[in-house]
Amino acid sequence: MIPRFLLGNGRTDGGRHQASLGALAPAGVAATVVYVLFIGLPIVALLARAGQQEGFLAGLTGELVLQALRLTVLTSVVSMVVVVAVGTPFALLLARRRSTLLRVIDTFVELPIVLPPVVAGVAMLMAFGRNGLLGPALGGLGVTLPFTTAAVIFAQVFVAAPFYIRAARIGFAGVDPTYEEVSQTLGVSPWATFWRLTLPVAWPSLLTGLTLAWARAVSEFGATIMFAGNLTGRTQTMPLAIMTAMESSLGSALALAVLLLAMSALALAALSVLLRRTGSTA
Amino acid sequence: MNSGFLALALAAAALALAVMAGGCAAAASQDAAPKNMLTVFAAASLGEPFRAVADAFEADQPGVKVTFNFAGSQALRTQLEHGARADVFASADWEQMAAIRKENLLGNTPEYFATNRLAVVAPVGSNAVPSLDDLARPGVSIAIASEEVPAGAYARATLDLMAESADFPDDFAESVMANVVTHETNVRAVAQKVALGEVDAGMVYETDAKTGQLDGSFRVIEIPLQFNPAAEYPIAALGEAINPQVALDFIAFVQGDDGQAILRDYGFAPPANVACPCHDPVPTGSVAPSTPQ
Repeated sequence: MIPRFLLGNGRTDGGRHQASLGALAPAGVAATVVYVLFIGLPIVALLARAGQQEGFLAGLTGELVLQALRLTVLTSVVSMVVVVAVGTPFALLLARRRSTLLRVIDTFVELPIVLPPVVAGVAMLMAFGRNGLLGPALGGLGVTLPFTTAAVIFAQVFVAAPFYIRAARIGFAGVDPTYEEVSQTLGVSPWATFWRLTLPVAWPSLLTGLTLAWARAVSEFGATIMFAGNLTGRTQTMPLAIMTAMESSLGSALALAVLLLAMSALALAALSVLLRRTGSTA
Repeated sequence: MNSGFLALALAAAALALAVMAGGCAAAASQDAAPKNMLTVFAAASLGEPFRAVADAFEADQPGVKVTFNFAGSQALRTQLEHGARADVFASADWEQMAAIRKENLLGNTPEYFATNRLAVVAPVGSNAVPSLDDLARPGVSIAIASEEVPAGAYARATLDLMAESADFPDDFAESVMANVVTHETNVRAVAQKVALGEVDAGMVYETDAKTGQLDGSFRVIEIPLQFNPAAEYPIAALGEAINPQVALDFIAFVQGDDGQAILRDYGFAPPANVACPCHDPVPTGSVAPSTPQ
């Protein structure tokens, strides 16, 4: 599910093992060429078409695109704050404690990764909808969740959190607990130990997980349209706006698509730079 | 890199491409293979009635198998414009059919085959919207189809007609639109949000309202005729139809007595006029033009 190069420590063995591939090397080269073309061609085509499309530039600065961009940035940032605040201590517990219950929870946490997002949306309606399980209780407090910006954040956290928690757990598990114990026997408080020892060592994994989670939140579609609806400025994030624009203005749809592509590429590039920097100091 | 390596790499690449091409060919032949397979792209609101029509059509023409793609007419139009293969297109408004016609994708002249109108529906247990006036009351939550969807365009036209009349305040349309919490991509999604009780009201077709009323999920608030422009549904065969004759037979069946009887059972009225506005240089729908406020 998660590419290994993203979950790993960011280091590869360079060219050292080239020889050992032997007769498999030509197949590897051929597969690489085919795969790069397969992934690259649609992206090149998207950019080429966007460059020629009437209404592309107008779309870039149009109200539909700007509102969707603003909403997407806002909701995905809030979602990531929630994911980090809840996911970090949770992942630490999963990495440090062993129990059957935690192992079950550990597996359960990853369910949203494999669950179709539209199922997540239906499930959230059944739980938090006005007629859902918690609907009457929430209604009693004067809270209605469906079709609000909060619902967009709920949907994003639901589908994206596992990507962070999973990577964070692996990162924390890679920190030798003996060091933490030594640190604490030397009189450093558990908090200070976490900040000065555990966090810096696990940092690359946390960062990788956060990037993946953010990318997943930004691309969230199925759960959002089901649970949060589709209203410009309130719940219409960029993927929803693309679908709406595809049926009215191809220029705006392409503008949104190119923006999303740029955001994803930027996130990957930033991650790679940050990993290299922390890699050299760690 | 020696030449043996290069040859092997090329061979492997050729093999990979052959496998992909084979996959494409298999997919393409799957499209063409069943001689009597008919693919119908139809507006979401035609879901149940067209399935019933297809059952009758299949019984009438042994060996023919009808498959459907139901979605908002604007989504179907987009799919067809981007190369989707289908035999028949049935739209909930003229705009989408006109767009397909303008792209020269049609195989015959479209004709209207049914008429629908709008209704407001509310969840059975809810009293938030007892009458049409309440749609404008602050705090009410409403679902409608988005502007591109025929049902969404009809809904906006209806609200504008109401605002223009003496029976409703001048800002009625804006007040109602301010209560809209979601713009759904097809009319069935609007109906579903109302049936779930997640919104206080929704604007759907009378046919959807009738279905939901029968199974007890909706309370229906009728929209008087003077505010309720006829939604006329056109149907046509596509130029790239795999089975042009079966496509024409299906259209004739929909327009014939058996098809019309089934559509009537589901609440559709017969078309006021069979001929589409095909000679207009600028396509116009049957909806009264909305007045910007």
